[in-house]
Parts: sequence; C-alpha cells; structure tokens
Amino acid sequence: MIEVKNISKNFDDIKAIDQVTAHIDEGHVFGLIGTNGAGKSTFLRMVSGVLKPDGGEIVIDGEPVFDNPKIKSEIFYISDDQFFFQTGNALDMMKLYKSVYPNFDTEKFKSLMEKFGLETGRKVSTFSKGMKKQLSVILGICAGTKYLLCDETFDGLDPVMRQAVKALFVKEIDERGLTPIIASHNLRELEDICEYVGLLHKGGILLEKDIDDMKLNIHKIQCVVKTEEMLNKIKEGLDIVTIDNRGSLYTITVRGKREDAENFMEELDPTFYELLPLSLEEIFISETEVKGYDVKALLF
Amino acid sequence: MTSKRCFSSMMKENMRHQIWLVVLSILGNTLSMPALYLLTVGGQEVFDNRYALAAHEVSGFATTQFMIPAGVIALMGCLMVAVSGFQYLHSRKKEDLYESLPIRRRDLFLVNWLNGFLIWFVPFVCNLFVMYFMAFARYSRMKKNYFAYEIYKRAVNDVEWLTGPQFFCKTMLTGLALVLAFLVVYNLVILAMTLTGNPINTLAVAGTIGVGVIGFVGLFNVMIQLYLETWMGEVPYGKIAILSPLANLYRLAVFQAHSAPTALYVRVLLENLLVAVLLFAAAYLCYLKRPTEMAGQGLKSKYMRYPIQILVTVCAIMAGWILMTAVVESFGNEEFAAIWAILGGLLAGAFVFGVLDIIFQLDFKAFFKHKLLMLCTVAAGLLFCIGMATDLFGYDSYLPDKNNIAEMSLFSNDHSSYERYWATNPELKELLDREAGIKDQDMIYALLQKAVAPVDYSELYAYPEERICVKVTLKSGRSYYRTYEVVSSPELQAVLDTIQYRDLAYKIKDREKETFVSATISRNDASTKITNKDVLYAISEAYNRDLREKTIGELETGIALGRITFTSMSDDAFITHRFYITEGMVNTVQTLRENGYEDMVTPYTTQKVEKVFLSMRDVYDLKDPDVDMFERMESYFGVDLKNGEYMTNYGKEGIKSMYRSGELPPVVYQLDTDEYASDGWFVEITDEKDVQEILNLTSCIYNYDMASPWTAELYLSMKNGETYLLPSYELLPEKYLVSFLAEYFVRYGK
Repeated sequence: MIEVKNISKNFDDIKAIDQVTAHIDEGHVFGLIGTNGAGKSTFLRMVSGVLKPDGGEIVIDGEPVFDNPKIKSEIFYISDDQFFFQTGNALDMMKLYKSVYPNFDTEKFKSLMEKFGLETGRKVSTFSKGMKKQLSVILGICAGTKYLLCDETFDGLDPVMRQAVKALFVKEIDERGLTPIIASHNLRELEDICEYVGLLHKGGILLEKDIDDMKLNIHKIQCVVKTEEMLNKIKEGLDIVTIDNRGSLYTITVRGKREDAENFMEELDPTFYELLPLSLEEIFISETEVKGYDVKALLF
Repeated sequence: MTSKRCFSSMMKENMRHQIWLVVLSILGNTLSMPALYLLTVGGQEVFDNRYALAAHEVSGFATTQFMIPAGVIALMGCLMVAVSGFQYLHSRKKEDLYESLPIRRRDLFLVNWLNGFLIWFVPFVCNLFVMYFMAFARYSRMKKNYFAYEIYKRAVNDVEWLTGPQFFCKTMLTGLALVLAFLVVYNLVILAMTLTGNPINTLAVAGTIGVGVIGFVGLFNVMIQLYLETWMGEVPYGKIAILSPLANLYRLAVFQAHSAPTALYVRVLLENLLVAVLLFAAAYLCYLKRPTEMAGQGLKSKYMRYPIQILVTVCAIMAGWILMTAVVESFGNEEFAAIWAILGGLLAGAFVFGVLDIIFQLDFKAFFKHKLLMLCTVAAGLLFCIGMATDLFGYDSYLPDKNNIAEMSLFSNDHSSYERYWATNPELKELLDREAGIKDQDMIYALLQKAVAPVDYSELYAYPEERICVKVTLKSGRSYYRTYEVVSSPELQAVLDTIQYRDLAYKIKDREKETFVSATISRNDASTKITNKDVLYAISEAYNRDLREKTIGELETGIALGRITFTSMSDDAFITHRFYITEGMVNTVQTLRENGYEDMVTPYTTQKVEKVFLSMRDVYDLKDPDVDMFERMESYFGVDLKNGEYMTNYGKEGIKSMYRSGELPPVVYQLDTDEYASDGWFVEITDEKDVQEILNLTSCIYNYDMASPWTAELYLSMKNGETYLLPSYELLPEKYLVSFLAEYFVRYGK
C-alpha cells in the first residue's frame, strides 16, 4: 500500500504540491487526474523516489521510498517523456532495467514486443511517440514490479493500442496483483480502467474516492420548472454543486443518493425532469468549479 | 538481487554505454606514450656511438617528458568521462530514469565515478608499463654498449646513469603525478556538476573553485605591491594553493618539470592527494544531498551562489582597477589614473556581477536581479581599492604610541645585499625571527617616526635611502612586521653607523661561508669567476673586516671598482650576496690583489681613458619639432635649464656661439665602437680634466637600493683602442646638456 502523508514540494516560489494525503491500495488501478500544473507529475516523481518531498512522507509497504532500493525495486516509473539511449535499441533498454530489477522477465519482454509489433533491434530514436510509449509500458510490465507509475502514458497511443495496454494491465492485475497508478488530464482515458481516483488541483488533493462511489453520489438533473418558487425549492432542498440553464431547461448537478434526489423531484412535480449519471469528466469539472477553478474560462 | 550484484551489473551496463570513451582512452594513451616514444626517441639511430646522449634522451622522455602529452590526454580524458558519466544530472529526462531505478544514490555515484576513472586509468597504466619496458630495455642496451667502449670507461664519472630501480621509480612517480592530476580535475568537475544544473554553471563553479582563491590572493597581492609601501612579507602561494586545486596542480607540474628536491616533491604530491580526496568527499556528499529538481536549472544554492558572485566580482573590480591604471599610466596620463581606475573597477565589477546573475538564473533579464547586493559588492570593492590607493586605512603611516610598545627589533631588508632563492620558501618574517635584530628602542622609534613622516620628494635625488625591516611587539602581545624606505637623515645615519646594522645587512655570515660555491667579480670590461674555497673565504673575511673598520658612508666613498657576487648553496637554500667593491674597501681590494685579481680592482684613470661619450638615452629624439627640448630635458634629468647658468648668462645665441667656437663639448651623431654600435647623439669629452671629472663622478657607488645622483649612457674609449659601456646614471652636468641644446639650436635653427 502506498501511503502519502501531508507531502509538500516547492520549486523556488512555486508550490507544486501542498499538503497532499492519499492512500493507494494494492491490486487496483488508481487514476490521478488533475488540470495542467496540478502537480500530477511531481506527485508521481515523489512516489517513485525521484524527488524528495520538502515536507511529509511517502511510505510504501511500510518503508519510506526515497533512496530505498528495496522499495524502489517494486516500483517502475514511466515519465511523461521517457529517456532512451540516443543510439540504443529496445534491447539496450531492456538490459539496463534487467540489471537493476531482479524480477525482470526477459521472455515476456520479447513476447510482448512481438505482440505489439515492435522491433527489438531497432534504434529507439527512430520510434514514433506512440511506439516509445508502448515500449515504456512493456518495459514497465516486464520489470515485474508491484507498482507501475504511468505519467500521461496513454497520451499518444491510438485507440487500439490503448485498449491493448488496458487489457495488459487487467491481465497483470489479475495474475500478480499489479497496481498501476495512472496520471492523466484526459478523464475519458481513465474512466473505463480506474477503480479509484485522486483528483489533484493546484497542488492539493480535492478528492480521493472509488469511482463507483463518486458516480453514485453525484448526479445531473435536467428539468423544466413551472415557477420561480419551484426553482427556489430545488435550490433549498437539494445539495447543489452547480446549476446552469438554457432558457427554461435547467441542468443541476447535485450530491446525494440517487433515490433521495429522485423522490424530491417526484414530489415537486416539475414540468419535466430527468436524472442522468455524470461522466468522470463532468465530475472533475464540477469539483474543480466548486473549488474556484474556472474550467469554462480555460476551455473557451 | 544482492546489492553487490546489482552494483556490478550496473557497472557493466554503464560501461557498455561508454564504450566509445574506452576506445578514445586507449587510443589517446597509446599515442601519447608508447607511440610518441617510438616516434621521437625510441626509434632513433645512435650516431657515432653517442650512447650516453641517446640514453639520456630515452630516460628523459620515459621518466619525465611523457608527462606533457599524457597529461593532456589525462586532462581531456577526465573532462570527458566526468561529463559523460554525470551528464544525467543536467537533464530532467535522464534524472527521472536514473533516480527512479532501484539503486542507492551512493551506488549510482560510485558506479559512475569508478567507471569514469577506470576508463582512463586502465589504458593509462597499461600504456605506461608498455612504454616503460620499451624504454628501459633500450636504455639498458645503450648502457651496456657505452661501457663496452674502453674510451668511455675513463669518463664514467661524467655521465649519470640511472639504475633500474631509479628508472622505474622516476617513471612511476611521474605516472603518479598524472593520476593525481586526473583525480583532482575529475573530482573538481564532478563536484561542480553536482552543484549545478547546466554546463555553463558547471564551468563557472569549477573555475571559481579551481582558481578562485588564488586569483583573489594574487590580485590582492598586486594591490598590496602597488600601494602598501610598508607591507612586509611574501604571499605564501604554496600554502594558499591548496585552497585552489588547479593552482596546486600547477605547482605539481612545475615541481615535476624542474626536478624539485624529493622531499618537497613528495609533499606536493601528498597535498594534491589530499585535495583530490577532499574534492571526492565534497562531490560525494553534494551528490547525496543534491535535489533532483536541479537538473536543467542554474545555480540555486544561495550558499554557493552569493559567495561565488561576491568573490569573483571583487576580483573583477581589482583586475579592472589594476588594468585601467596600467593602461592609463602607459599612456602617460598619470594625473587621471585614479578616475580611470575607479571607472575600470566599477564597470568590471558591475558587468561580472550581472553576467554571473544571468548565468546562475539562466535568464538574460536577470542582469540587475540583485541590484542591492550588486551595489553593495561593487561599492565595497571600490572602497577597498580606493582605500589601498590612498592609504585610507592609515596602514603606511601607522605607528603606535611609544608607551604601547613592548619591544622593537630592527633588521636589514632582505634585499640590501642578499638575494635568497629558497626552495622551501619560508616567509621573510620567519627568517627575521631566526635573527637577532637591533634592540635600541629610542634609536628605532626615532627612525620609525622619520619613516612614517611625510617625505619631501624633491630632496630624494640628493639623498640615498635604506630599506629596513622592523618587528614591533605591542604591550597587548600583538606584533607586526613592516618594511620602510628611509631617506637620508640623522636618524638613518645613526643606524647605519652601528656595527650591529652593518653585521646584519652586509656581513657575510658564517653559514654562507660554509656553503660557498663561487664568487664572480665583474666590471664593465671583464668578469672572472673564483671557485677556490680558500680564496673565497679570504675575500669574505677581508670584506667583513672592512665592515668592522669603516662606516657605510666611508665604504661608499671612492671609485666603484667592480661588483662581486658570492653564491652559497645549501640543502634548503640558494643565496647570493652581491656588493660593489669600492676604493674604500681597503682590505677587500688588498686581498683581491694578493690573490691575483689586480686587474679587476684597478680603477680607470685618464692614463688609460682617451675619451668619454655621454648619450641622451631615450631623450635624443631631437628631430621632433613638437617637442619642447627644454621641458623634456628638464623633466627627465631633473634640472632647471631655463634658469640655469648658461641660459641666464649667455642666452640662446651666446650658447650657439660658444658651441661653434668649441667652448662647449662637441656632439657626435653616430658612435661606432667595437662592442656598442649605436645611433644617436653623444657629447664627446676629450679634455683630460673633463674626462677625469666624469670618471670621478662614476665612482659613486650605485646600488639598486640607493638612488645615484645622475645617469646617462656613458662610453669609455680607452687609449688601447677598446671601448666600454658603463652603467647608466640619471643626470648629466649642465654644460653637457647645454651642448645638446646648442646642437639642436644650430642644426634645426631653433
């Protein structure tokens, strides 16, 4: 288990991570989502032992991670811009990792390279961005570590490869309890693979939940109200996160159980109402808006 | 996987990626040692059976000279392996990879360090031994051939042959020096890399650590030499060099090249080893503590940045000051030198400070980022320079109240008649502490009061001066050393007249006599070398007797007959003792005559000298119409010609007339002599009375501590046809200057 306790990291005057606490259980896919500059990469670099936190501590399986080879041998970090030897090929990279990761599986490496259609003898510098990402994932999987930290790894993969990698993750989770931690700003990528999600925003963690729980406790209501008074009752009676309208059609994001919201609306009897589930992206936008992050201003 | 196995597999893996460096190292070391040996001395034929000469060349290359090519390879090699091995510290991508690997930072450092070292070291050692065996085999063969010739057996003592162990030790000692050179620079570069995040910052930090302190001390010393007249002491560069690794390395190279005594050389070797170890330890600790996020950044640590910035800026201010002063003074604008010096220091300081900020911040807009600190540093630096130049801190005029002084000791200056070349280079203060100085407190204090009092420089030409050293111990327990140039005065004369001072300043000491090597007597027309120890001893005894029997003033009277230089050499010192032989030194002259050096101590007389020629030296550019010859000659020779006897009494036309009629000595334009062919204007003196007057004037003793009253180039044309050039003087008697002026008036119608 990865336990992150009140970690902070500053780069000069910039607070990259501020008092973040999180728990990541084994055997699940943990998604780390956040806006640009939220601190996702810094978080992963600290968890992988690359960076030392200015404050707080990161404990993995009961031991601190920084400069601890025993723990680091259970972690493989794929950075957002992975380094490969300038003139080296995939085998050279494999040899490097094999020399330091005791459980590195050479046979599996060769087999996966073949399955993914990557040539082991070709210079990595001639690989496309997506091919390099694939190679990184293969190396990470074959390193045989318990934790696989992926920073924007799905960015650059085509949909087919994305599904293949996801399938690979699922297989590894099933077979040996791999715990992938995937950082991304692309919520759709994480939605169908992550079980748990941590939402980083401006260096702090906004929420850390089971995705299913998140989806169960936040809902979108589209409705047309009969009177202004009815709208006021909705505002008073529901735990509203955001409210928006286009003409007489209101879109309201509310917290709470689905049944409670449904009963409330049934009782109120508006002209029209419909209860819709939120996508992870909508949850993310809602949560960040609540914290004062103007997503729309950024997007439009 | 055990840590040990992981380390070795990482070593192997790391080495695999630096294979190109291994190839370069093998190539470079092979070319610089065995190949270069074969190309230069190893493959040469021995002509005319000159085995000793050929063997000397072989041993010279194989024991010492290979240091230069192999040293170049070592220095290039350590830079390349350091940069190659630790370049990931300057790249975020690479840092992410290496720092995420399950290997301790300590091990990662050692893997890279060790691989870098081995990449150079293994090919170096292999090639060193290959070269050694080739050279020693050839050397032994030549030695055998040499002794095979009967004729050489007689000369065996004239040729110094190395034994096998000697040859081996010398080669290995040079090899060891190169290993240390490699380690020092290698560790220095790695330390700089661990402290910084990009190459230009590495360069700045490595340079500052490498030569920063010695550079500062050197510039500080120049300022002291320029401005502190009473400063006494030598900068202990040898001791300070240890704080500047590259300077210490330079010492090692110099000692190696000049075959310094073994003990001293070993000490420098050990010092460099210590420096290499300290640099390694510093690099190692900095590496362990290094924040990974430094990659790609400038120099973030304020504990490094500000000291470097301040140190280098102060150095730049001093350098700017000194440079500008030298440039302005070389153009003769001495009155504006101070303003230019301030401007030079200001610009150099501000520029360097700003540029360092740009480098450290990696931002071109950061020139004025630390305006206040820049202002304070530059102001402090300039204040220091101005203070030095104007004696603002009262250093030269410092003299404590007599009641506060516990004891004073007066010594001769080290350079009164000695020149010491100390291999171990002890400080002058240490030397003085070994000697017993004059202790007459009243006499010394009176002299010091005279020494620190303002001097009327217009009187200086007329009076000789003496340079003395003083150690003052205050009642508080603090003591200080100073050196003073004291103008001629009753206070100085009182000191000079004491036998004690003569013993201190001029006597040839017993320890010198014991280690006499030779003495050389020289005068303008000849020189001779004395090596007989008995004669040397007799002359020195006679000279010491003269010192006992006469005052300095009495010894300085009469004609200077020549100059004698005694040379003494002991294990730790090389001393020369030089003085002029005057007619007043009766015992010395008598002893020299008795020992067959009559010719060397016989003065010139009109019986021997036919003519004397006086030149204007570098003032004879009379053809320049823009030059005011009055001003030029007056300022150069320090006389008042316009109001002098000739101009006042005879006027310009009168002078012309006298010149034409021969009442003034004639001027010639070219002087072709056997030895000194020269162009220029010369006054020709033929009248016997005038010649004698000139010869008498030359008899003033001239010692570089005692300004002589007049100078010009002076040629003697002897009756036997020979000509001699006498040393320079600084003033021509007025009538000879007027001769030049008259010629100038006549020739150019002025």
